Amino acid sequence: MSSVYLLTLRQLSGRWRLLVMSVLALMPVVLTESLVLFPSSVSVEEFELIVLNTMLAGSISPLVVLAIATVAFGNEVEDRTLANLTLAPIPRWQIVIPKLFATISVAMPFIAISALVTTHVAFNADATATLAVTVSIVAGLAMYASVFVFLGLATNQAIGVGLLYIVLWEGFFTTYVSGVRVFSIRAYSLALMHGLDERRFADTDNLGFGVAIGVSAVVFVGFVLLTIRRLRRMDVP
Amino acid sequence: MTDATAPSPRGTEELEGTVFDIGYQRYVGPREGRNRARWAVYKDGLRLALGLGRGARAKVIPWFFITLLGVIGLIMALIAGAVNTYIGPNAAEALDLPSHSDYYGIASIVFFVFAAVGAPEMLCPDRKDGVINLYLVRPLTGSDYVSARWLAFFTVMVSVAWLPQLILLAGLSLSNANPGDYLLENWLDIPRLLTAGLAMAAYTTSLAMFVASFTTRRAYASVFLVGLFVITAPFTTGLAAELAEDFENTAGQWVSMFNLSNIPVHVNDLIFDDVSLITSVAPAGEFSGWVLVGWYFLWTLVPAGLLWMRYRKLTP
Amino acid sequence: MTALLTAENLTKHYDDVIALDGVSFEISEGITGVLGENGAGKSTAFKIFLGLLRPTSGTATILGENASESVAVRSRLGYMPEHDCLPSTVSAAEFLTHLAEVSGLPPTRARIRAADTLRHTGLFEERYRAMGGYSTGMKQRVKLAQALVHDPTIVFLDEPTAGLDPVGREEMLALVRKTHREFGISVLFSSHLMVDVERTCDRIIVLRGGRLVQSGEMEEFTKDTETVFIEVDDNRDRLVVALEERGVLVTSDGHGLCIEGSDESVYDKIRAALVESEAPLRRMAPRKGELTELFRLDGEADPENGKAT
Repeated sequence: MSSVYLLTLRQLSGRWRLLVMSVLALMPVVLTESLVLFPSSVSVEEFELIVLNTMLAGSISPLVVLAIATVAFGNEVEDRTLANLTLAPIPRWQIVIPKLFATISVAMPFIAISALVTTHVAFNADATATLAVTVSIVAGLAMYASVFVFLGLATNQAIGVGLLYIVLWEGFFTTYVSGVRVFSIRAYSLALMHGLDERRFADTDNLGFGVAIGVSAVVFVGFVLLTIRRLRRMDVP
Repeated sequence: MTDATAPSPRGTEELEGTVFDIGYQRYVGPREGRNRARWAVYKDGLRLALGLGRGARAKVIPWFFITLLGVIGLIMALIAGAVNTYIGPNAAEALDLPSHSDYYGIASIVFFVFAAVGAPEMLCPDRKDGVINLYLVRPLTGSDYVSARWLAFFTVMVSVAWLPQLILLAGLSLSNANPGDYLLENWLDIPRLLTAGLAMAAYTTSLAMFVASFTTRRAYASVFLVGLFVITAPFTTGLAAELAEDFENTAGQWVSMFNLSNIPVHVNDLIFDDVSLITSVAPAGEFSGWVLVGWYFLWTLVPAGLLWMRYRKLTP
Repeated sequence: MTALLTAENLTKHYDDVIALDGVSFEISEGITGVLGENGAGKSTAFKIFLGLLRPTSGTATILGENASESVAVRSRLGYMPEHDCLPSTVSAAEFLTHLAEVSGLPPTRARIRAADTLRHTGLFEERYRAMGGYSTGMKQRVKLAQALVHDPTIVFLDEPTAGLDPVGREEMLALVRKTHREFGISVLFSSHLMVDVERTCDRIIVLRGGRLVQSGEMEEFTKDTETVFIEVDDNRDRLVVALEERGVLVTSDGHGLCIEGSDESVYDKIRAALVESEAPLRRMAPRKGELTELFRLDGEADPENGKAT
């Protein structure tokens, strides 16, 4: 398992890619820093909406994960080298799990540090708030990773489909059609945040904490299982 | 040497039908050189952008976007029609419902994502698969190639920008008791929506293809572009609102100028002499029209120029 | 015969690396093999003639035009790259039609030429399938076909046999010969395998480290390099002296000796030398010159004679 993990880790960490991800991850930090630096009239609700909800949970985290996760299998499907891996004498789940963890390990430092610094600065080093935001953003990241790794294996249009999902579903519908939140990773992530620190998104219509934990686990595990199933059944090109 | 028995132009159909003649025939027909080459690359670009001539899967994404953009126009037309029918003639206008001037502001994000997904398809696979070398040893230069691809994607983007506006125009005029009168009264909308469509398409095509020229993997180009369009919006909005209070607007206005999804919409606003939904809160709108237009051209021509220079170097 | 292409003092530097170093040659109709190890400058030379690279100095003339300036001349050139160059989602027929159009053929003609060329290179029903599913042999055929689809005057084949199994290689070499003998298209064919070049080409150019080492007609090469191989049990040194006294060129080759020359007189001299030196002969065999020898003849070629006409 560890060799697949290390191999994938190397595939995923190109110089350009890391640079682009750093730029994306830096944006909320810069924004928050400047909000704090200048005497500001921005309310906590506005900060939550712009930085935590729209930027971190809704676009930066899924975009970073999408760029990495779809490549985890995508490159091999595209280059037709997936057979090399699937012919190795290891069960399929031992290919999927390390690839997923490699994806998470590449994406997580960027997002976690970004979330950590952002909230640390914004909430005057309030430990509960910082921890709640970081943990829930990372949980969201893990769910996105699970979904996008599956997508990368299921379709060769993974990027297109993934972008549509992020922009239209997570970005547009979840914001304007409140019922959709039941099926939104962004909403799960925010509900976890609210559950861990109830001051966050206090006035928003959140899912219950228990429900949020439950569905998050279901989404994560469900897509891992789907990916394994897909890898077992597909005609390896 | 082989005998170059020239088939007459009329004889080619017969040749095709001859089963037993398997000898090699030299080609003696016309060679149309560079213009034919440019046209072929352009045509191929159109097919790539729309997924024509490939499997059904390649068609799903582009046509989904085109349908979505059309549906937005259709819904706007239907609402105006319903309002006119149930509240009274010209009620839609009186209520100032979203119309031609607002369409690009509303649909811009879908438009940008379409470009982010489609533009890399124009350039990345050719470099990844090495097909670019097969192009460049033919009577075609690097700048011919990239211009043809740019124009192909621009054509698609212009059509995709105009189509919903024309649906909206048809809907608005037909929902009027007298379509002819509506068109006569609002004829100015037609050149306006055509120009605004061109502006939207030129900007998105140039920026998206420029980014695509840096990588051979479509995925990275697409994600980076969506990141650019989607994230600069809340980033600049938040920062601009903050700075506006401290520095008498100027700093905030300039930050707001970097909202990449607003750049062409400001031009749209100038063309229609109206303010769109997404630009109504942008401090950059307070700049004079010349600054906004200049900024637009900067963000369109510089990426296009750099893109051209990157490809021009490929052939002597 | 007039030259199809001429290199005059062709030099190409990449930063510090010198890929081509003042190479001059002339090539006329027929099949020309460009032989050299990896990095000898074969691909660089091809790319300069195809207009993909600009030489640092010197000129490359092709079909009477300057290769670095004329765009039009490229409608008469074909190029089969060494590396992959086929998109996986398109069918061979469609891809070739498109490339024929890029070479300047009108669409209907392009379609007919694409079908004909694929038939001549041995692709039949597969040509309507996406190329992603092709075997290496089929891909090489498509790569060759795309270089021929617009009926060029010269075609450049960069390592056409790379990655093929013995049968596939035979077939590819047969296609290369057919390209000239039946289709009347002149071929420039690079390889690092002497056997390929030896059996296919009318003349060869040997590059080594960016310099021209040898060039000339194939027949001359094999004749000039014909040798007699002798192995003796004893008195080897005395034999060498005896041979050299008789003006015979001797080189040591492992345990044995190689004696240059192909005319009958050399055998007389060998016999006399063997008798004189009392060396017990174990083995003697005429060895047909192989291009292997060319690699040993390091850089002896005079640039003035560097003409392969």
